[in-house]
Formats: sequence, structure tokens, C-alpha cells
Amino acid sequence: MQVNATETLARYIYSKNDYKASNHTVKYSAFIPPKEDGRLSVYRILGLGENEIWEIGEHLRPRALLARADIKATSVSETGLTIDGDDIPFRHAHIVGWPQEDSAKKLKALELAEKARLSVR
Amino acid sequence: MSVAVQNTYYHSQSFVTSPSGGGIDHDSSGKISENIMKAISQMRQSETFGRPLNTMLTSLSEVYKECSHTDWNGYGAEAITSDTYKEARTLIYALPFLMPMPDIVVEPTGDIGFEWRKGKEHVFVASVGGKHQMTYAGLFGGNSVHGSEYFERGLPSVIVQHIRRLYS
Repeated sequence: MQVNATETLARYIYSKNDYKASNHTVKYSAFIPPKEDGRLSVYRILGLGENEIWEIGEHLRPRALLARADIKATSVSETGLTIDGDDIPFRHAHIVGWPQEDSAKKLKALELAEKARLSVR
Repeated sequence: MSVAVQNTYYHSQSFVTSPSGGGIDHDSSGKISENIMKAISQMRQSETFGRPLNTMLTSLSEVYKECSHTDWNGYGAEAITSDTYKEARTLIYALPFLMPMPDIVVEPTGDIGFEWRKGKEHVFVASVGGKHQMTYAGLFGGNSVHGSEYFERGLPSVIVQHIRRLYS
């Protein structure tokens, strides 16, 4: 499913390792895809209010939602990655097209983290 | 979690120096080694050098406890292994004395990363995974780098150069 360039994507954060509240930054670890499938899970949040956005993340995992990193779809495209909106579950998408090399993957994650906006719960 | 040391000039010596016995006899080498270790121990207890090192080691120990089980991030992350933890400790001891202290970041792969940040889009990260290899990436304003280097005891010079570039 096509994701519009003007959309914003949310990466929900469940570990305090993945952000630093004191300087309001997202750590690159929040954007490193899992080894097994190389697909980074995100949610499309265009048109949703703050409460609705948090509510999605609260029901995804059996653990406390701590924060989220919002990133524009254009920023993802600028790094050379693509967004695959599968809508399973509703509003879900993956950031795909990651390079094979670990260091190149790390660089992409770093770029995404720098462009993301942190919101702490 | 980290302590930023303001001085941007780095002493080439790391927190631990491996004494070399080259060119001198075994007994002398042993004594020198002992003296060096004593000096390092005293230095580690000082405010200037001891505190950043101990802060880093404490942070590392904390993240090891937090991330030594799978799925610590809710997305199926791999646990930190004891080999990775030991290698991260080695890296901390290998950091030059006056280098700004990095933040410790655990990656979903179980690797332990070290992040130096000067500001927006001026950041350098290097990680270890218990396999004698450092993987790194950095953003320097409009420029970027990435790669990997063999790592056993001493910090690879390429890594030091990139960190210097970040703070220059």
C-alpha cells in the first residue's frame, strides 16, 4: 500500500535504552531492524490525535509504552529506504530496503534517529 | 548515564596500558608492569580520571543486567552475551584518557554501542558484539562514514580519528 510523502510514522519505544530524555534525542538503536526479517515496524499516524496515537502503542506489546519516535515519510525516503504499508494491523507499515552490511544499516538507523522527533509518555 | 569531559584534546594513553617488555629483561619488565598497574590504579581513584571510567563501567553493568534477556525492547531483541559485555569493558578501558565519554546504547542485535554526540547530525557510534570486530557509523554535518575494524585491545586509530573529527 502506497504511503503518502506527507505522512508521519510512529516508532513505539518500550525500552529506556532507545531514547535519552535529558537531551530529547532518539537513539539509533530504536531504528535498527530485527535481524531475522530486516523490516522495521512503524505506524501511520496521519490525522490522529495525541491520545489515539499513544493508544495504538499501548496495546501492541505486553509491556509499558515509554516513548515514541515520530518521523516523516519524506525523511525515510531521503535515507534511501522505503515504506511498505501493509495495514496489518490497521495503520501498520514497515520500513524496508535496508542494506546488508551492518555498518551501512547502522548509518541508516543513525540518520533516521537524527530526523525523528521524540515524545515521552 | 554518561559524563561529558569538556577537554577536546585527547591524551594518547588509554585507561589501561599494556606494558611492553621489549628490549629489557623479564624481571625489569615485571617490575615496570607492576608499577604501571599501581599508577593506573591510583589514577583510577582520582576525580579527574577515575570518575568518568567508573561511571561508564557502572552504566555498562546496568545495561547488561537490563538487556541480558531476549526481547528487552519489545520487538524480539537479542540478549547481550557475556562475550559482548567483556568486549565492551575492554573497549571502555581502551578509551583515551581525555576523550569525551560516550553514551552506552544496546542494539537489538545484542551488540553494545558507544555514542558520541556533539549536536544535531554530528554523532558517531561504534559497537562491539564479542567477535573482535567494531562496527561504526558517523554523521558529520553533511558528510557520513561507516565501516568495521578489527578490535582486540587497543582502540583502532580509525575510530579515534573519527571521534576527533566529530569534536574538531
